[in-house]
Amino acid sequence: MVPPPVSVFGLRKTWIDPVPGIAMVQAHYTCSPTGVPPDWAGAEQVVLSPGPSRSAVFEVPRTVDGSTEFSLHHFFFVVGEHDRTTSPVFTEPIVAREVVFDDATGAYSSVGFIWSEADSPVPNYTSGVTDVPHVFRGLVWGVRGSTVRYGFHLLVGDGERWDDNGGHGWTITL
Amino acid sequence: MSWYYPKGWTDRQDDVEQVLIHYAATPPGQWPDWSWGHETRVLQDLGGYPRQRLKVLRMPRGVRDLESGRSAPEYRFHYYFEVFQGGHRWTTDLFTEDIVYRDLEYTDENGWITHICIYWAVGDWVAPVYSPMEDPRIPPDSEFQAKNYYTYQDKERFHHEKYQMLYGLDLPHRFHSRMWGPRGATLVQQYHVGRMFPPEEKNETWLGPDGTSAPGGGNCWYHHL
Repeated sequence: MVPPPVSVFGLRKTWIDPVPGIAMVQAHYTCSPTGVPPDWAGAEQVVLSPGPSRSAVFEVPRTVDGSTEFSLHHFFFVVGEHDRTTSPVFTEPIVAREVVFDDATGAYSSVGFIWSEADSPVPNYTSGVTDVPHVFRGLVWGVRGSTVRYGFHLLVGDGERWDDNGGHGWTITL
Repeated sequence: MSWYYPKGWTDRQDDVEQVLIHYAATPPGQWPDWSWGHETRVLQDLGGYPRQRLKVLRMPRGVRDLESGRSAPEYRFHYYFEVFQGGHRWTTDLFTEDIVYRDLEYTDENGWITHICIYWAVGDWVAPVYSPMEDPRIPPDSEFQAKNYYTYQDKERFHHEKYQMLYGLDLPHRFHSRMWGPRGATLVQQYHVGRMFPPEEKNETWLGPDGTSAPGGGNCWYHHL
């Protein structure tokens, strides 16, 4: 059975402490249609894992106002030893790209795509759809210009297998 | 705003390929309609032997009851794991937990504090949450509500105005905030307190039951839900 559609994808964000003594880093993030400024009233907040290299996973919607292309805004709130600062707001274009599995022999009844930003793995899943026989298509998301690594979840009857190209996966630049 | 709930998995055999968690939240006493829709996440493979997997779930601060139209701050959390193993899939039993909240009040007898947050987490410090506290006498629509601090451009103005607002209130100041977790679990918790005005008195620290502390670690309060 293929997992159901998912409304968000995970995107890891990293912070490197520029100086010693930083106690906590919290990220605030929100999305908006492209060109629309952020509305911080409904923003999400997440504390980054302890440093000096800190990270957190943002849960980014797969569509905003029905579009797979939109803006992700975030900033960091940094509590230091003796002060607190806020980073500038970073705005990044989120885009989706299609990946395809061509089932030339017609061996599979369903195909899913397991994928992640190549440099900072957070596993995501997209169920494949087919509009012509034996060709399964799915979307992967990320920041424009980034690289996504993906593999295939191949299902037939009660059986299934995961093909990650010998551990290397396949890549696509967004 | 959300809180965060880590869910882990330990592989019992070597041929587990992927583990997914399927989950849904319902008002108290209700069950999910899995065919209507639910959330699914892939657990991250952390390696190790036996292999550990983890997903930190972003959890709501309430669930809307479609029958009453109201949001319930306490709710039920339903989940199961889907395990892909050895060329096949299997699912665990369905687990249901009651999500409950705990309100905290911090009493500032002498008015030193101008900013205060709770730093808390479910179970341990894997997924901490940083929640601003507020004195309920600060008007809910005030631009100087604690929750507005992070996106307020002119921080020095915020520090000054919030100081003045609190200064005008009778002592003690009682700051409130809320934590969530599954019934039966333990929350760990500290305070982050600060005096951000006047500038020459700026100071802030993290507090546990043993006094000042770094964030996280053993100097914390434990709350059994």
